[in-house]
Amino acid sequence: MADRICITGMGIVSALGENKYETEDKLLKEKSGIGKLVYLNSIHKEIPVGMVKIPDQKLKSKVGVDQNTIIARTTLLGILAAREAIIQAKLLGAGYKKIGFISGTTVGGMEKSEQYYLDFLHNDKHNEYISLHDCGACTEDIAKHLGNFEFCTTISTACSSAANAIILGANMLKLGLLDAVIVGGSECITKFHLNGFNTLMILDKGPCKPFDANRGGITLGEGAAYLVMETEQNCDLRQIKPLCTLSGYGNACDAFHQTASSPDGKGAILSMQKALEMSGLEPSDIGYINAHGTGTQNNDLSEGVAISTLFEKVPPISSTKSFTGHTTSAAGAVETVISIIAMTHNFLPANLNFSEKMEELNFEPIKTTIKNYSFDHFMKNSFGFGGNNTSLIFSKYKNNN
Amino acid sequence: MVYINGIGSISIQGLEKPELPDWGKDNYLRCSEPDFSKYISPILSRRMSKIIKRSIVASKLCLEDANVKMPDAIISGTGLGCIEETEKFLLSMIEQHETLLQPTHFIQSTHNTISSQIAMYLKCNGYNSTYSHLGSSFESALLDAFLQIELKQIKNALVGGFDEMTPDYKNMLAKIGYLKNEPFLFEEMRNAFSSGSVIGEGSNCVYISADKTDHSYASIIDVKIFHTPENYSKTIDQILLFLDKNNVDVSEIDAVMLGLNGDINNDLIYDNVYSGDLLKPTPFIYKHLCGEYFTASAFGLVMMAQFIKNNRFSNHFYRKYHPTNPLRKVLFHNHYHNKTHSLILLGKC
Repeated sequence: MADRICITGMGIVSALGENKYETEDKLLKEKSGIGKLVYLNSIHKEIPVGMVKIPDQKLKSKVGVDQNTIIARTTLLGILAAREAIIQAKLLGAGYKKIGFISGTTVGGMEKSEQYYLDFLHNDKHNEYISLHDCGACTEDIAKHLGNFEFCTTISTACSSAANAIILGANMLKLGLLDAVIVGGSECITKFHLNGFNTLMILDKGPCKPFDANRGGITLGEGAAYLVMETEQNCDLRQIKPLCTLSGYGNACDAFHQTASSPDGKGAILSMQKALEMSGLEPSDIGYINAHGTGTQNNDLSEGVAISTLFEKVPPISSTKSFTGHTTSAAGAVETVISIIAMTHNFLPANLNFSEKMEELNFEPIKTTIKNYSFDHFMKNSFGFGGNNTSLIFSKYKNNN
Repeated sequence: MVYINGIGSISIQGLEKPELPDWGKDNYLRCSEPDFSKYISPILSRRMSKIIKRSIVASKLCLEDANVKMPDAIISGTGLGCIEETEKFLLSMIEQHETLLQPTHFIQSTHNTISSQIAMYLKCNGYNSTYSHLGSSFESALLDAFLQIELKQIKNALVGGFDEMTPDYKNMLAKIGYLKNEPFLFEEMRNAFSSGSVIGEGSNCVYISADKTDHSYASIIDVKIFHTPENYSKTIDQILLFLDKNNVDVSEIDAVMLGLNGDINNDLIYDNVYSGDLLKPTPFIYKHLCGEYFTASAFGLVMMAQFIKNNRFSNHFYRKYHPTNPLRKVLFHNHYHNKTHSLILLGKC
């Protein structure tokens, strides 16, 4: 049997807090991180968001960057989360020569570009921010602050970016191209995508209510999360116990509409099927689904229909975007880390703000966090604009020897 | 090993054979566009931005060339994504103080719009992804496809490098020293003596497959991306390791296709790596024919694939002298500010 892909470290920063422990605490206490818009000079103060409650200056001190450094917020969030993952995996003492860094982002340095864009066009006041604009610049910056990498790239498939980073990382490990890989994503809230989603009229006026009959759309969030992945053989060699394994993944394209999902959830069914096929598991083996569940009319219906089609009996399901908001490019990793915390600490995280079942679906999400509940496998769905659908399956680590 | 079975290119060169372009005093050229109505119905193309139209046509030409209707996967590299639409939304958001905005430009602004619009056009439900990592965006996409074929997750893929360069973005790049101040001379490609480059754009793609056909252009023996080598000798080590992994001796490399762009800081890296006795294959260059941009290497690969197949090449591509051997094995080497290097080992079929 092929070497299993193991997760040995993880880090997270989101509206729930700046590490795994704060995140778990809030999940167990059912305390959402969604609140008021701060740190962003937007007129849309009435729209609730899931912000990381640390201003840039504080983030800079936390990650040990000089206050005068020209750096994007997406980069700062990324460094904070990736560092937590690296420390947990004891990666620095592993003696590895070939470590990769694969990060998902879409807004990149946009939060700075939107502040200084008129200067970029008309004068030379803020030229130092120009080269921060693109996605790759953020990844390079995060990498620079973490250490030396053999490989580094950026995935930008909108809201499924981080999930796709996990797939590339796993493939590189399977072919022995890297000793270990740090995968995930980072994204801060920008006026650009806040206004973008707002013009599409898919932002909820209150905190999002995924899978609720009266859901009103997305609540935007921000954050970063990363996993350290390595092969089981490498884990054995350096005697580190894996947190869990990545047992399957699938990526498919809905090929239906740039911003809407197909009514039958074709792309979602395909990505979930591919992931199940690779894992060798049956739908009935999946103990929990962390849904993409954005809270829009369209996504939750399409994803819900797809899940009902594939799962004869729908497993416990929740969208933890009701805690963090939709962290867009980082969401695949943020919600994977949340689900791994839940799987390894035996609880099911709630789908907050749910009150009324969707007529079209034969299931309801988990209303309250359920403690002392054990499951062996979970599925994480992550879908993006343009029908970029990705599904991942993680399993409890069980030593086969 | 995979095979390049189809190519498609929209570049500043148009669809004819490469000519030396007149860069003008701006050192900036835009794509020479075909008549899109020949390829995409006006009803569809009305809603598409420039880069989407170009990329769909390049993909269509590529698949037709390969005689394939549906790829298993669509994987794109784009450094800037749909920058024109991004700029439109950004500017109206700033000028209108976040009011009365239209969603169209936002919808079309994300980087993955290109890959997903190609998928929608082809109705392709297969694997779909987009890489946006500076000068290795296209190579990242190619690596992803290559690995998936090796792992038998897919059998073939449409892999593209897509970028557009707007006048505003070009001006921003000029401010931070990416453009030459003086009109560009072709001689600078052979021996750069000033900083800055010339800026272009393009949509170039290859169809790669595990299966060889009568029409195959070249084989891709391996792809490698490596990061931030400490010095030149580390770069040479990486190249030698890469060749060694593929059981290819340095002496077997007939030519090397280099990402020289006329910027002395960029080109010095190649000069130092390929100056010793160890690595002395015939150097080819291409960026003066397509301009420098994040995914210019896709144009270079499309050109080199043709040279290998036909064993014919325009002398615009020589750096110093023409090769004496037919092209059996070619090393494709590109780097971005010495941060990210990419290697593609190509072979004759």
